[in-house]
Amino acid sequence: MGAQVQRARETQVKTYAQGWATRLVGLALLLSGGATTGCIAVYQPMSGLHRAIAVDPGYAHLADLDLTLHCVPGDHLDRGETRALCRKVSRLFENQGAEVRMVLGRSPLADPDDAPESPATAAAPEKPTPKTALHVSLSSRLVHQEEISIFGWSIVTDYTFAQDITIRDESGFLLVKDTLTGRMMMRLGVFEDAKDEFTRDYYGQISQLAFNAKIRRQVLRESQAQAGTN
Amino acid sequence: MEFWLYVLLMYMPSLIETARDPMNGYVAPNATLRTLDCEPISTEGARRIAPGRVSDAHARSDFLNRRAVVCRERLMPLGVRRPQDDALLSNLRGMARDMAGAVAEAAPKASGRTWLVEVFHPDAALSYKIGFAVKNALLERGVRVTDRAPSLAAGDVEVLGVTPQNKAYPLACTRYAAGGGLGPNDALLAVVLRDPRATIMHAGVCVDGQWRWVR
Repeated sequence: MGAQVQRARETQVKTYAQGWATRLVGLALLLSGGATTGCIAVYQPMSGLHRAIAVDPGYAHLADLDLTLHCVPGDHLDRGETRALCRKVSRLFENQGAEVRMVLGRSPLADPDDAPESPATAAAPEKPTPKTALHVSLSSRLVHQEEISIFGWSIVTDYTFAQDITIRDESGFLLVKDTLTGRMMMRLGVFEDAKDEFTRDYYGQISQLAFNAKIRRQVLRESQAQAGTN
Repeated sequence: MEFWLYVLLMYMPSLIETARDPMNGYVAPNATLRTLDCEPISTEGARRIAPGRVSDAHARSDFLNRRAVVCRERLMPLGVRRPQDDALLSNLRGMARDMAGAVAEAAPKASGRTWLVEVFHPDAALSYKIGFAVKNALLERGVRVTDRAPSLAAGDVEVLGVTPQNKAYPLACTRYAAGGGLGPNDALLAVVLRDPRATIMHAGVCVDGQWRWVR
């Protein structure tokens, strides 16, 4: 009788200990799983961001460019985030050989009333400038945002953003205009490659657009010079 | 038991989203996402394009968020063509229409002339594709187009081969007119790749021996 009670007590203790052990292991797994996964960003390039590029951002393709970078805060990026983006893009262009000035705000050349209809009607510079001057304008907007939250804690944040990029010459003539659209999803997950992949796409596209604008400006300058000699 | 309840409570919304969404965070990102060009559209637009695919909102609100995205699959997967060729061909129709529009702007009397189209690109197959697309775009605008190519004398070709690009095209235009390669009722639209690192092409027109860049 005593042995049976002892066995029952041991079983009870063992079962009780097993129950607590299971809970502790489960909690440990949950916490470790949460620490391993956590809130990650998953990225989908939607339009423009995954277009093929021919220029390598690691080389000095923009060595003869004088860039003024206008970064416009909006509903997607506040002033601080816009300034940080501007700094990074400025560094990107500087690494490719350009001289860059940053301006937080809209470009004064962005007003369509001020921009000439064609480069031929723009006033020709009185003396040749050693570098091509371009104005790059970046502005971001939020296209869509969706959030799933439990007890006030956001589980999934899904947003689609669009960045509008315009590049004009010193007279305001529009050389390049493009919109890069992407989708970011912040959720609990395992794989995170959003930052590297998005960075690679974004820097590649903006470098290509700047180079295209540079070539277009050179070609149109030849046309202006040709019109002057004819 | 409680552990699984905690897991379900925390992960269920994400799992439900993952089941419907091609972009998920639980397995490696789907490589096919990069083969799609997607554009968000309004739900009204989605209902017009694909009736029945987007359900109507309940009159008393069903607390569901609806979103529509139009995706177009690329004709060729990334990596099959060279990046520059891929960039040029991915928007071939838009580029061709842009070039044809440039002709209409630069030469208002374009319809009265016969237009020749020359494409200057290192790849012959790509040159043919671009030339074909541009000719079709000109035909859509009612412009008379010919497959004839302007000719130059051997000496002209030799001289142009050593002339810088910024002077070669105006010089070639002058020689076309002087040598009879372009007749009085002809005009030339040249589509040129000025730099192998660029993903845009430029258009120049040669009319009556006068060269002008228009794009």
